Amino acid sequence: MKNYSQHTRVLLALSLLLTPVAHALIGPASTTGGTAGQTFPTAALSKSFHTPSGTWVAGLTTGAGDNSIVYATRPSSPDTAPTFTGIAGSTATNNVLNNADINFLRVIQDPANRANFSTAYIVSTTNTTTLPTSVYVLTATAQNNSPQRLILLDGAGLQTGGMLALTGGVSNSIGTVFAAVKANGATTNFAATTGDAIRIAKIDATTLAMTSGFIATVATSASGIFAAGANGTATGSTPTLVYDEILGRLYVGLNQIVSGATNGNAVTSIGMFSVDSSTPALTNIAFAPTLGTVFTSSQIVGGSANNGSGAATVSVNKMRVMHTSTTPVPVANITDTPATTGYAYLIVNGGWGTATTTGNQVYSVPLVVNNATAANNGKLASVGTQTTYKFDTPVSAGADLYTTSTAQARVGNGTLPMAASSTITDMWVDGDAVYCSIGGAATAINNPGVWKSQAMFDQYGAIAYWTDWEKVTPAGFSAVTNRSTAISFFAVDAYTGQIWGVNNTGDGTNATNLYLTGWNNSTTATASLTGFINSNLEDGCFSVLDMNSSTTGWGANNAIRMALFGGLNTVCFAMTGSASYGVTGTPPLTFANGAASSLTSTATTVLTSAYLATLADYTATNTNIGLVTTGLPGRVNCLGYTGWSANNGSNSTPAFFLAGVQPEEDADGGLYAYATSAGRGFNPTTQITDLKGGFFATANNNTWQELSNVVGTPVKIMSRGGALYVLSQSVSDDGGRTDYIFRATLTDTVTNLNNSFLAIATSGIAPSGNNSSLATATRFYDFMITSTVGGTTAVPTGCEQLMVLTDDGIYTTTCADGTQKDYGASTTSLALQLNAGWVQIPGSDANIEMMASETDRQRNPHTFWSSSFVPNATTPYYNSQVMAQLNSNYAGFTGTFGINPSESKAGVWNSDSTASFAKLPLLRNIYSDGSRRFIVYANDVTRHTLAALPYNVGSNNWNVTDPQAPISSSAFSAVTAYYWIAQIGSTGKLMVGTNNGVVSLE
Amino acid sequence: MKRSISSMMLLATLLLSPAVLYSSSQKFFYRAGPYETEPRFERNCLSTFKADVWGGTSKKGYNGNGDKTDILNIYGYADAKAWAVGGVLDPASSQYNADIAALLIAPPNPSGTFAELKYTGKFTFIQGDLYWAQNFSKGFFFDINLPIQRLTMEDIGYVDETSASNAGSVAWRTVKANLDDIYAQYGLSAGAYKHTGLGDMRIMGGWTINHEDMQNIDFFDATIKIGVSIPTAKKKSISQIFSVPGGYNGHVGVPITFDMALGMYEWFTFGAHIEGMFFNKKTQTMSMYTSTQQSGPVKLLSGEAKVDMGSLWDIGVYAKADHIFKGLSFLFGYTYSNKSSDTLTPENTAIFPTAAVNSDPSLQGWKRQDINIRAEYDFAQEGRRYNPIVGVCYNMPVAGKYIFKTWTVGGDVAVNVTWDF
Repeated sequence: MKNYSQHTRVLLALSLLLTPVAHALIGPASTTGGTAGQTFPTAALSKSFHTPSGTWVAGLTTGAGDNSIVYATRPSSPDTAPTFTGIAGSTATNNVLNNADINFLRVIQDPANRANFSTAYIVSTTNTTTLPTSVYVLTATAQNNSPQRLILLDGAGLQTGGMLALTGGVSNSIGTVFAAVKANGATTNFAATTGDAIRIAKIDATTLAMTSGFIATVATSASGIFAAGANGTATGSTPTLVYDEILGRLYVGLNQIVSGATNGNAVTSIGMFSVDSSTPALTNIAFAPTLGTVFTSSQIVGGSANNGSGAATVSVNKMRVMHTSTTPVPVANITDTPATTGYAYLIVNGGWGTATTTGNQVYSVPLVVNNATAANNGKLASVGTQTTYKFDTPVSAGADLYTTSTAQARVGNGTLPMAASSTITDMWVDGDAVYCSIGGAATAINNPGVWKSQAMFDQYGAIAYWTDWEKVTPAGFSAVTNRSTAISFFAVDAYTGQIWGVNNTGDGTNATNLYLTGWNNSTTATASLTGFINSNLEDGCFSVLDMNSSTTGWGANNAIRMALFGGLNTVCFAMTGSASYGVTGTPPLTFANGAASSLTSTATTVLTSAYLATLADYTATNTNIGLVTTGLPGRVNCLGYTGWSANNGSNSTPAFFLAGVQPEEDADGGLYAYATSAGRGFNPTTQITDLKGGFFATANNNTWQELSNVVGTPVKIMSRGGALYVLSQSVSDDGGRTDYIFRATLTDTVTNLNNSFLAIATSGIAPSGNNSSLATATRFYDFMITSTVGGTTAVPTGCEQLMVLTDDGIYTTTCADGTQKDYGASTTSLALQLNAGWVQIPGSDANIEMMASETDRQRNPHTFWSSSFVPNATTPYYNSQVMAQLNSNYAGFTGTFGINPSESKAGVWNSDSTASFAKLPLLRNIYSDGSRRFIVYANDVTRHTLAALPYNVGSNNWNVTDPQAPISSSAFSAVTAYYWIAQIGSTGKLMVGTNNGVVSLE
Repeated sequence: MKRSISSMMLLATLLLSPAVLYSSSQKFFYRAGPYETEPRFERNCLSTFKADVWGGTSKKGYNGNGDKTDILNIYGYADAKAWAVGGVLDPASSQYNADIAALLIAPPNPSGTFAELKYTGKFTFIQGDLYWAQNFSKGFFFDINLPIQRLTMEDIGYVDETSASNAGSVAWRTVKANLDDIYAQYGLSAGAYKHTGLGDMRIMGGWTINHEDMQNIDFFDATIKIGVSIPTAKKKSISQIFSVPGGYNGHVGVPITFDMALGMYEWFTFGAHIEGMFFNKKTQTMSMYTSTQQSGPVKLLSGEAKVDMGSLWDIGVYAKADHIFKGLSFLFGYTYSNKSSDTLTPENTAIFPTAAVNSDPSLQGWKRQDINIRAEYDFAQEGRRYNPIVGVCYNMPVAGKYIFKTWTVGGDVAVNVTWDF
């Protein structure tokens, strides 16, 4: 945490002093690409993360001595390797945990001091035979030699045959442990045997002794929790448990349950319990009523054998609970009592099918909140039409549920790039993001690492769809040779933006390296992608264009993944990876050196493994994967891609890379296209194979060629496959300022493209009275492409709309035909603007919205973030900004914008709406991947500041006390300006463009 | 000195010369002043009336390092990107407010300057003084000086110091192209400024002694005075960025002076002067910084603040060739003036943090060193009641910190009236 408690400081200091060897591996923290650290003495078996203090706790395999249980606290500097401390007592005390297998581990926050790790309860187990039969509790500083023990009993009061799952949390201000136990003598297929149960135990705050509680039997039966009609059969060995402190609900997931084959036989994979407030007891609450009515098929967490479809099988391999940032009441303010407002989702890895057919699927399942009957909260929610900013009605019919094909439910907008028969190794849910890790070796159908998807919302704050899976851990490009991309356990530290991970060698049995991603500002050209960029853009990297799998007109048409980086007079092209086979795509692709890949592509041209093997060599002469282009007359402010579609233009060469240039003189800049000497662009399906052949062949004599019809200095270039749009700002000799959004129809030559540009928006212009008037908007600060339809595919033809942030509020187009419509060469700018139908979004004119941002990897955007001015609390002067999350409907922004028009925008971005979080300095950049949120703010004329600011900032979450605390890595010591923040392709690297080139979190 | 000159002529010369030279002696950062601090003659009932006109001009000044620079750049470049650090007026009320903020948000470039202006201008100063001194008996007297002045700042321009690498910034080009409107948004003008009116009037009472009965020197004269400086001058205009106050910006001052003169060789006089001036605290509207990062002369916001004005000290010495040809005398003087820092206590520290306000270089006091040259002709004759004297002076700044390098030249006409023969 940014302000360490005294205890934590002491612990950290002691750990540094007393730990004989630092057992850690940190990602690159220096210009040399990283530090190879030490490893755990034995492989990790279990992990938990104490978020308020940023402490990683791991349980190791037998043989680790007092390091059987180790913890490593977040280093005070992001450049420092974490060091771990063993706390499993000493061998001399005959502590059963010492030197043992620690196969289950859970850290429960100290109810009296949520942020303090030293008093947090560390609950663990060790095997006595094949499975653990007791749980133990200790803290980092107490009971280390003699942890408190609770012998686990089954539903019949006999000693369990073994524990299969463990979780815990703070319930009613008491540390509470939940264990899924098998009946005496049994060890497999949880809920298949009479006596299988969930046991609850409460931890005494003084002695750590556990008080045994009510045992909820969970065996499947006609009247049981998981099945209706004829018995369902639980066939999966390992249940999963999640306790949600906000909802006050314990969820039990079965990793494979099969219904009977007779019509009406129905099963659900989810059981739910409430926790008694006074005694350690659980009460079963039906997750979904009348299973046979509710579940038919493909409804994610339940199914039935209706209509002769035969037995239904549903599975949950892992699950978490998500409380989205669109919760009107900050979730951090709700503890120990059922939530009354907002959105909660059960994030489920599994779905409709067996455990071996759903391992790469992740879904979001809405839960009931704010129901007047308290017992209904937490149940499976009806997703019927709602306008109340919450799902507050339990499901009553199958039509009330999302299915496995519903965009709102499909986390990642598809399957993870791994085999369905495999299982994700870990899952992390925070804010609006879901992260999943993939272990194993890189193969044609397995792309290991940590992947992220981010929820996008509708105008009521409900999830509308999910962004594509995006890799967020580095792979293949680092000089650290012993770092595998395969992940066994991980945690995403939203406090710093770094990712903790334990890697493995492919099968998960050698998970010994704990690493932490670090900031890298290498300038060694051949060392990495970072070094390649920095060695060529010494004057700064002002812009980026990532050509990834989600890029319209590229990702699905081309297996090549690349990125463009704009500097002074220069644009660097760099290969970043290749499409992967995935699940449905063709053809398969072999990876080399664990090289990063992105999601599927139908392209037939892919990079060979031999090619990928060279991706670490970004020498200037290696034009296969790195190409430096020059000749631009100034600073490359922005980069763009025209988009491409087989239906556009002549279908020959309608794609162009574009650069907006700011000159080094007091004059307007210009827009440039990278084209052949004949002024032609390229066809991405056939002409992009690398940076040497095809379009990039030397014989083409490619140069940057000006598109002079775009007036002013371009500041943003966007396309989503429809038309091409450029925001430019012009200052005339007499001091007048005019801003434009130019529009062009995609075409095949620079000349034709240039001739196609017309202004679709001009500041201060009213084309016809009050119709489509921008007369009172004198500055255009930013713009976005939106659409009037939902979904996760590219914006359909006829649905493209524009949203522009001005000094007169936010305007949107409302044209029925979409702004991409080509009115032909005879039209005029005034006519184009009139047809666009610009209207001011009601309620948006109170503040100036200077800057907007959207997540990458979304195909049909409706969720944005913006910042606007607010006055000082005690003065009329505006010296602060607030951030807002803007979520639109699909009807053209006709008045509903934001999750709740009456809600203060300040409370939307962070869970804490107090002044220090609600009001921030003047913001330049916002980047959010749903959990990791970075801001760049300006409160110093000589140096801007980069800070990480998570959504959940309370003491029981990330415990942020200073939202302005800068990221203190030495990689930024010479950085004064930050221009952009972006995840780059499939590299897993998060890069920041600065005056010193790029700094990469890798 | 040996009294070889007729005793009556000598008497007239010694008695009248110091009295004529004495008048206001006020020191300011914006101009060099004449050396006018010789002891007063002790004679009972002597009256002195004087009128003078003097003035000068400059385009240069000395900055805080003592380096010569443009006159409106003595406090440094106007750093436009820092204007929004402490806050701007409602951006919704004017796009210019947002433009200023956009300038701060624009990334700083360490390789060059960005959004900084070096202002230039020409300052002209003209002043006339009406002076009356009246002796009583036993060396006691009072005097009063009423200045009338005209201050002009004109030919104001600026040089954009932004480096080429940042010159194309739209945010900066927008602000630069609309500077006048932006200033107007904050009720400011960077235009020419001209003001004619009273300066600070000064009334003092003192005691003087002339001692002649010494072996090796002709005479020793000394005068001490205490009085009050009344703020009759116009204060610095809040709305005019480049205005200067005519006096001590509304503060009442209490000057205390000591002057001495030593006559030798029948024609040579050496003199010295020391003066301290102390000001009352005063709450008034001031243009102030809102951040320690701001610099230069432009302060967009103003507010109430208690001003604890720093004291003003000056010392001077002179050598005078006295009546070397009939009534003709020449004076060569040197003056060192030191104005201590002002300390402001803003009423609204939320907008105007105290540290930020007091980081303003214009509050850091000033220092100046001037050379004074004077020629005068004394028409005094024995037995006449009315004894006129005329003089001319040239005063040249030679060094300083936070001052205008304004030389001045002028002339005066005075008459001593002896009522008691």
